[in-house]
Amino acid sequence: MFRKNDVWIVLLFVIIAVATALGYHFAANNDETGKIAVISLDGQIIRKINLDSLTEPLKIEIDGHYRQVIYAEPGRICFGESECPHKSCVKMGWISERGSSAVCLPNRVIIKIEGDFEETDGVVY
Amino acid sequence: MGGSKTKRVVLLGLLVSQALILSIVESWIPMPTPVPGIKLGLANIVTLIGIVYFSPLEVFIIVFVRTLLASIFTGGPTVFLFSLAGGFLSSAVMILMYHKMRSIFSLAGISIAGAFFHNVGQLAVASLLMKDTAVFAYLPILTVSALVMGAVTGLTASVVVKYLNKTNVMNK
Repeated sequence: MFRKNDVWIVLLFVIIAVATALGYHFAANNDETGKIAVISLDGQIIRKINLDSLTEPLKIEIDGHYRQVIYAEPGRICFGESECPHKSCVKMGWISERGSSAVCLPNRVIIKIEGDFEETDGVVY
Repeated sequence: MGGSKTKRVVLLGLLVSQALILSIVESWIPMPTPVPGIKLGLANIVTLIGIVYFSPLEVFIIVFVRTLLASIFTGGPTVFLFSLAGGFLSSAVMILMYHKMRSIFSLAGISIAGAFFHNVGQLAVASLLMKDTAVFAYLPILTVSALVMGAVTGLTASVVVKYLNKTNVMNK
């Protein structure tokens, strides 16, 4: 079944996984303040929303490869509705941490929460 | 394996259909985490059996036809691209390891490496399509599932190979 040497394969991948996790963890942990949700479609930024200054829920329609609705609320954002095949983007639920992201692969849409390093106030198109 | 051309074609067809059934059945099983790209990868059992008994080209044919048919039944064109990239990269790694390092690593170990590179291939295509490397943030959690499912499919394949070797189906 298994051989002793298989341990090296497992060890190699565990190291890669831990290194990647730590890399993303420290990349997100900086001195930035504020939470800006950046929505991109096909690699193009289509909308930025300041989640801190949001006062009431917002629905953003995405007309990409599939029809989608993104829900934004004060401090958090998620894929609310989607017509993509597996809907794993919707199941992913709300994201609220700076540095976290939600993706919809079939629709090629990414929502990333970034820090407030640019002078962004309110909702920017 | 030896045998007539007709026999090879028949056996390849059988493997493709078995892989397709496994792909379709696993798409009915809901996954507990909504991480994109996470799946059981049961069709990898068939890919491994293909690697043991067939040529590299024939393995790529099995993977290509299975992925194409599976994405017609479930998924769609984008899912087809991800699966094909993952499937080809993972098959290439497993073929190489099986032919060069069979005496060092077990079929289960090779299967774990294949599962890991399946994810790498998928994430590479995803980051190309999205023009964003943020998707690689999913690599750690996908690696956990690759270790578990790679071991499960690899052990299953080695049991099947053990019994196939007793039957002479593959080597007459």
